[in-house]
Amino acid sequence: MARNVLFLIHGIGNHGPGWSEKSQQVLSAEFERYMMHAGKNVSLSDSLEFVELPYNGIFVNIWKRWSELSTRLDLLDGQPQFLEQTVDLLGDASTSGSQIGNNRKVDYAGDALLYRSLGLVRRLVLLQIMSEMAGIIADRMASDIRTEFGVLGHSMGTAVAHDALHILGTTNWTQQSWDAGVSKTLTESEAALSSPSGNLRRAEKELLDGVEQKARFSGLSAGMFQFKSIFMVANTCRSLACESDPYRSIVRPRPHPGSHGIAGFADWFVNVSHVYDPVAQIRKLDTARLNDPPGSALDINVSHLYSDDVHALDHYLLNPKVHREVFGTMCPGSFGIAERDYANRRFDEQLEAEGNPDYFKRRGGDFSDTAVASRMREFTTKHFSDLLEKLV
Amino acid sequence: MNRLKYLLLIVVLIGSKASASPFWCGGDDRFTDHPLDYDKIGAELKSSPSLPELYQSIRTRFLSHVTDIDKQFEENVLIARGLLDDLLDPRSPVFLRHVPFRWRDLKFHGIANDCTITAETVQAQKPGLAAVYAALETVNLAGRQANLPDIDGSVAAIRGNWEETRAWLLEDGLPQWPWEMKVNEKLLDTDPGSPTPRTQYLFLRPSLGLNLSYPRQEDADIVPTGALEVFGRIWYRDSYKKHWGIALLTDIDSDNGAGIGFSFRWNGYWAGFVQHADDRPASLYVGIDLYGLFHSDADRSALANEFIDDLSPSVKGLRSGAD
Repeated sequence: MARNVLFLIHGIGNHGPGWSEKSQQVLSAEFERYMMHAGKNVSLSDSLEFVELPYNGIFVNIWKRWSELSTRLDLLDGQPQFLEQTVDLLGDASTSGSQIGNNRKVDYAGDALLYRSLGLVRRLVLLQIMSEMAGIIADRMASDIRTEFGVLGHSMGTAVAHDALHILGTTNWTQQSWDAGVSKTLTESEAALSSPSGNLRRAEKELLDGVEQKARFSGLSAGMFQFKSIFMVANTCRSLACESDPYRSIVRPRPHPGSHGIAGFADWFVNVSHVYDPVAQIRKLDTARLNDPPGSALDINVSHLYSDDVHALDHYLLNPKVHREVFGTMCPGSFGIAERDYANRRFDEQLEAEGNPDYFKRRGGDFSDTAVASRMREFTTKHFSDLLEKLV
Repeated sequence: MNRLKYLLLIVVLIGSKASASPFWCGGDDRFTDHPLDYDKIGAELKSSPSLPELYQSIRTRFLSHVTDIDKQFEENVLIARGLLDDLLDPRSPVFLRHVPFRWRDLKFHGIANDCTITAETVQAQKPGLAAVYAALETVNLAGRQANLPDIDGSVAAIRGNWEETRAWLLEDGLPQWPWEMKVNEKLLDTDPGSPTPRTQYLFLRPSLGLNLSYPRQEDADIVPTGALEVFGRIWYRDSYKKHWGIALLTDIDSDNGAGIGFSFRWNGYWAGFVQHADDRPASLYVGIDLYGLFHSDADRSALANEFIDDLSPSVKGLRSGAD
């Protein structure tokens, strides 16, 4: 069985190498639990490779460029105060090296603002993601043609993943081969037209189809290449994605052959939300609109409370409802029906009655106090997000 | 009765042997020619002279197993057969020969239709369906293999585009203010899938320079000036390190007031002519970087400050006034 690859795309904020270590540890520990239960001696790293795709360095560099520009205007004191203050407000990159420095006012808005509002910044981000992703795909497929690929985006990373995948799968990157293909189609169609038995109408249709199809199918386009699964954790696509409407993009399950639906880029599309995570609740994606064929777009809602940061990726992955889909789609050789059943039982609390320590408690960690959990519920997102939704 | 027991025992033993050694792992003579013999497929993928020949081989092998497939799977057999026929039909569009096929294309009869399904699941639960599954899976692998050169081509194109964009926006290109980025986004084709532009617009670009006016010898003066390139355009040459361009320029200084003119850019240095009033000759505007060109071994900003401090009382007045 090939070792599959899961690309990880982070959310807002500074993410150095190893940012996903905690999430990977959670997944490894959970995977080990299932393997032990099944009596298998397999570790997650045997069947799955994690590849981090960082992009926040782009924002750091952009702020740095603007900071340098404003510094050049600093020769006459007093003249460029407005510009300086603007750059300072958005981020003092030159001194802190952070895209937002220590300025809490824009601590969580700077990256999203840049990404959403400036197409050139978005171009940088998407090309970096696509470049690294495509390079890994080519490399791993050359090593083992059976390697499958998945993408997991978190928070703002879901919008970045959405846009990158849509551009990757709809752009004809190899213009040269496209030209050759079109020429060939034209030549063949001309030959059909000139033959005594040539059917004009059919030849014309084939010509048009050939040109259109060739334009849409290059090495990494959705018709030629498929991801195994796409995970959107705390999905922000409807707020931040820019390259296509999430309901019309190819970031969806592949439809049945012969179907006239929108081309999909993956076998599975999994949307994960936490009911107390405001980010996941604002302009929430209606997964049902992508669910073709039925059952291939999953909408997972979790409500467990193990940490005060319910938005954290590792906190999401703790839940068997979430990690069972990661294991099931990305490690099908190890995580089979029996393991999936066990994950279901863990979550369905059937194991509680059996007194099994593997039972997944909905409340734990810092929120074992139900009074805290109850207070938190009062403040959460339903009302807050409804309000924001109206504002947006 | 005893003979029947022995017979049952033999059947169980054979069954357990088959399930203990999955066919795709090799080592079982019963399945050496099975459509999902990965070792064989791997060898064929490498040695096959052409994709059609490989598909032909897969088709032949598949058809030899069709007789073993249960009638209830006829629909699936037709799917796989139609697919293989399509792949071998020279009239089929080229792209069809690379399309990935997945198990979802099949109709499963009684197997849980979820993401955990594998060749092993199919073999264990519906052995009669395994050959169909295998045929599609092998076609999928062959198609992936054939698609590799195109993927490599795409990778090269994406990387090239990324490196050019990085050089333009983060390294060598003329830095852009946020509003300039917005203007360029509107006026240029900056779609992530498009080639990196070789030109760039300037818009409301503030800068600092020196205004050299020379109406008469005794009135010659040089004053620091804040300027704004209202709108302009630059063109990159061989790389993003080299460019030239023109822009509409306005400036304002303490001696001459506001003026308007044109500026010229060349590889990061720029100068222009500005007309401040009808009765005065045009003055030369020099960007601070051009001044620094002649002092490239020192910090340009510091030099410029010293220079300005020493120039004239009007300059000092401007600086102290600002303080």
